[in-house]
This record gives sequence, C-alpha cells and structure tokens, in this order.
Amino acid sequence: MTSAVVEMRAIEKHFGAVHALRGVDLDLLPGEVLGLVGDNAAGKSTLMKVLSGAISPDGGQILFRGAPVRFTSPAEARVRGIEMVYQDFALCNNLDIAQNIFLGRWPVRAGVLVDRRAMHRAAEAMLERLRIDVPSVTVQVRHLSGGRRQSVAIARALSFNPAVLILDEPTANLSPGATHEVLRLVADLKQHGVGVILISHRLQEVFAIGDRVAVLKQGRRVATRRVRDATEDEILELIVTGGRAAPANSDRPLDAGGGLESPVGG
Amino acid sequence: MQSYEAAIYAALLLVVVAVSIATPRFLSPDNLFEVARNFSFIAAAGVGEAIVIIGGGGGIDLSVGSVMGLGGVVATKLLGMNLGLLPVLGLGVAAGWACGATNGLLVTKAKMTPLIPTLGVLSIAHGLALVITQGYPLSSLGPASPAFIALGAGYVGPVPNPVVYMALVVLVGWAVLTHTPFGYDLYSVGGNDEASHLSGIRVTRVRLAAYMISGALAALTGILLAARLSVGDATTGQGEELNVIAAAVIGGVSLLGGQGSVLGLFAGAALIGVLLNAMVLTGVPAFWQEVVIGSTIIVAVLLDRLRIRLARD
Ligand SMILES: Nc1ncnc2c1ncn2[C@@H]1O[C@H](COP(=O)(O)OP(=O)(O)OP(=O)(O)O)[C@@H](O)[C@H]1O
Ligand SMILES: [Mg+2]
Repeated sequence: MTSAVVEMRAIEKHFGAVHALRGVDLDLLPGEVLGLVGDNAAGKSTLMKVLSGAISPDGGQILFRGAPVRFTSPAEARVRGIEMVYQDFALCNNLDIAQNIFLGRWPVRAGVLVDRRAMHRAAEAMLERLRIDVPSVTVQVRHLSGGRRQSVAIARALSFNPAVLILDEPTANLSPGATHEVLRLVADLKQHGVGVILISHRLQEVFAIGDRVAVLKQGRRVATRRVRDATEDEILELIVTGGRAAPANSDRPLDAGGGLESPVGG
Repeated sequence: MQSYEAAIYAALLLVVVAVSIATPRFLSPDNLFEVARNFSFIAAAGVGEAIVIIGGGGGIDLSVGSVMGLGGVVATKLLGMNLGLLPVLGLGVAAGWACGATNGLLVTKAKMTPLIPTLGVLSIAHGLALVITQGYPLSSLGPASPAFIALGAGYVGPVPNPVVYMALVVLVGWAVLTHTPFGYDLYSVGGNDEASHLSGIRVTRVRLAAYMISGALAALTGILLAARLSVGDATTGQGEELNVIAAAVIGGVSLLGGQGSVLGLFAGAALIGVLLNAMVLTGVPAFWQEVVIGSTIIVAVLLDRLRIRLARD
C-alpha cells in the first residue's frame, strides 16, 4: 500500500443537493491499469476530476507518492505528473493535430514566435512513438474519425510525460477497430511504467487490459478486485447491487438500470 | 479556412473586374488610392474586431465606432490644450484601451453576454465624446496641428498615409495571429474554451486582451481619421461598427469564434470599399449604401452558417 503512486482518502463531493462522492478511497500502484466501473452517475468522472485538479473536493485527502497534495487546477496536478483525458475529448476542432497536442504549450523560438516546424516534428515523433497513424499532423482534428481524435487526445496527455494517466470512457462511441487501437495504446503505456486509471462501461476491455478493478456505486466504492481473481459476472453483480455490504440497496431504488445493457453489449 | 479565404479574394477580384468594366474610371490610380483610403479605417479597426470575434464565447465589439470618435475627440482636445503629438497619441489610445478594458472585464469577470457591455460602452464612449466637445467640432489644434494633420492627410510617395497605416496594422495583426503564442491561444480559446482552460491557457486573460486590443486600435484609427478630417467631432465613426463587423464576417471571421483570419478580414473590408465606391461611380444615391451593407452582412452570416454546416457533414 505504501508504494502507491496515488492514494485518495475519504473523498467527499456535493453538487448542491447531489451527494456525488461519499467518502471514496482509491489507490493506484505504479505501472498498473486500474479499471474504474459503475453505473451512470455513480461518480466515476467526478472522482477522477478531483484527482486531475478540475474539481475541488469538499473533503478527504490525496497523497501523491505518500505526501499530501492539494490541487486547485489541472495545472497543479500536471506538475505532479497526473493527466486526464476527459470524456468529451476536449480537443479544439478548429486546430490541427500538432496544435492540439501542444495546446497552450507552443514551442517558441526567438522569444516571441511559435516554432511551427519544431511543433510538427515533435508531434510526428510523439505519434510515431505511440504508433498512432495519421496522414499528417497538419490535418484539422474535425476531419478525423472518433478513434483518431481519441488517440490525439491521449497523445496530448502523454506529451506531458505523466506518471498517472486517467482515461474517461476512451472507447465510448468508437468502432471495434478504433477501440482495439486505443486499448493497444493503453497496454503499451504499461510497458513505460505509466499508471493508468481507465473508466469504462465495457467490462470486457477492463478485463482485457486491467490489473485491478474498482467498483463505484452511488458515490461509494463498494469493491476492489484483482482482475485475475474476479469474473465479469461478479463485477457486474457488484455494479448492479453494490454487493452484500451495501445497505443502500434496501432504501434506494436502482435509478439508472438502462445503462446496464451497454457493458455486455459493447 | 484557407479555401474560404481564396473564395473571398476571388469574389473581390470578380467585383473589381465587373466594376472596372462598368466604369473604367474605377481603375485609375487616383481612384484606387481613394478607395483604399476609404476602407483603410474599416480594415484597421476591423483587425481588433476580428481578434475579439475569433476569441469566441460570442465575442463581438459593438463599441468600435464610438471609440473611434472618442479617440479622435480626446486627441484633438489635447492638441488644442497645446500638448505634443506623442502624448496626444498615447492618451487618445489609452482612452480606447480603457473602453476595451471595460468591455473585456464585463465580459470575462462579470460574465455578461458581449452584446450588452459593448452596446453600453458604445453609448458611454459617444456620450463622453459629446461631453468633451460640448457638441461642437474641435478644430483649433494648437502648435502640433500641422504634424497632426499631415499624419492623416499626408502621403508616403503616392500612397496616402491611412493606407500605409492600414497595411502596417494588417501586417502586424496577421503576424501576431499566425505566428505568436497569443495568436495560437486566441484560436484555441475560440475553438474550445473548456479544452483550452484544462490545458492551462488563461482563457479570461486572452479574451480580456482581445477587447483591449480592439479598443486601443479603434481609438488609434479614430485619431487618424480625425487627422485626415483635421477636426475632432463626436459623430465621427458613428455607425462605423456596422462596416467593421461586416468586413470581418464577409472576410470569413465566424461569429462562433476560432475561425477566420486577418487577411480574410482585409479582403472583406476591400470588398465593402469597392462596392461603396462602385455605387458612387455609377450614381447610386448614397442613401442606398446602408441598405447594401446591411444586406451584405446578412448574406455573409448565412454563408457562415452554411459553411459550418458543410464542415460538420
Ligand atoms: N458539474 C456538476 N454539477 C452538478 N452535478 C454534477 C456535476 N457533475 C456531476 N454531477 C452529478 O454528480 C453525480 C455523479 O456524476 P458523474 O459524472 O461523476 O458520474 P459518472 O459515474 O461519471 O457517470 P457516467 O457513467 O454517466 O459518465 C451525478 O448525479 C451527476 O449528475
Ligand atoms: Mg462520467
């Protein structure tokens, strides 16, 4: 436990009347892929936005390599090597691939001029290293397929050389081919010692590339399992019922049952 | 983006050819410089307007026309108080910058829809200009008067000074937007402010700077216009925001932000200038000018919508 890169302790978050996170604990070990699963509105994105500095928690603590940290912006989390690829890609459609990878960190020459050539070269090198295949880094991202766009978003996150990479449903809305491509990318990261937290509704992919899987339900972490010791059915059961240990079941109807078909269907 | 620019330059060429066939006088160097001088003020103020619009978030600056008037009035008033040319220019521009800062702060900090504060500042700037002039044109411009008037009425070789000024503003604007980190930030913020923010771009600062640039540039342009007319008048520049916004939109600067360029804006301003001149040369009554400009804006915005829809599919 003490070797964890990141430890989140008793994280609390309210949005008005919505109690989105109710004392959540989560650890990430170096170089592991941790699946984060749960129903719609379970709090997965919120928990990860707390870790990436995009949201300030109401309570709880984050330890980075054992030391307490407090992030008030994504920039502060970035300094520690924590990057997040948000659910909606967060790309600028009007810019090209290279510009999206270097968004806000334009390489500069002569003090004031953006060094376009250096930016293109670095972007090409980056994409090549990640084995992401694009026709040209000067193509506007609006012209790219969903899979390519996701790859560009991941490439941008990786260009910060993060120790921890958070991916929020990176394969939602992707074709099987593009999904495979993104999962290969994530599996590759492991070789480079990057810790990955993968939010997903598709249990198959969590089981394909994950080491552990954490289950959130209604703002609580109800279970953490080693993937190799668990089955998809068991995790699905935990997602739906919250497990035997969750008393919330009895007094709270399952409100988002419609989301249950997608994990198996995907 | 590039293809739209090419299209607008093609349209400009087409109109120029048509007008010169209809009235051969159009192509005389004197007339061409006259046309260029007339649209130079639109193009120069348009660079600031384009920067605001490209910055996105519904950004638009309705106050540019009034701020042009205010800049000219502040400058001529100070000249009449025997100040030197440079301090006069500096203070006149500062007045415009303050208007821009007001717009920018109300948009970014008070989170107001850009139409509202810039409409308010349109009125405030015009009102201040009236307060300064008391409603009378300021024509006693003190000892620096010859230098000041030469600024607006003089020539570099055969080229009128305002045209040289416009060329400089367009060139610098183009360089800033296409080659500097600020320009890159501006397009990013205009394209997706949330993504830009998450990537560490200071969205608020970029947009605030855009309004400040627009205000300062409008005032500087208004000072030049006052120099060209050798008089400071609160009504100078009134309604000019229409031409300026039209030039930007016709030139391909999308009202949704993140799209368009200074070179496109320049072509848009030139197109307006040529159309207005053609109407004069062919004897169309001046009253029709506003009808034509208004229609052109609407057509340009419709084209913009169409372009966005096509880009999506
Ligand atoms: N910015 C916000 N303002 C108000 N409520 C929010 C906000 N963000 C999230 N919530 C609420 O917090 C709860 C948890 O949302 P969250 O997005 O973290 O769920 P999730 O597990 O990521 O769901 P999904 O699988 O649908 O992405 C939901 O009830 C949601 O409506
Ligand atoms: Mg989510």
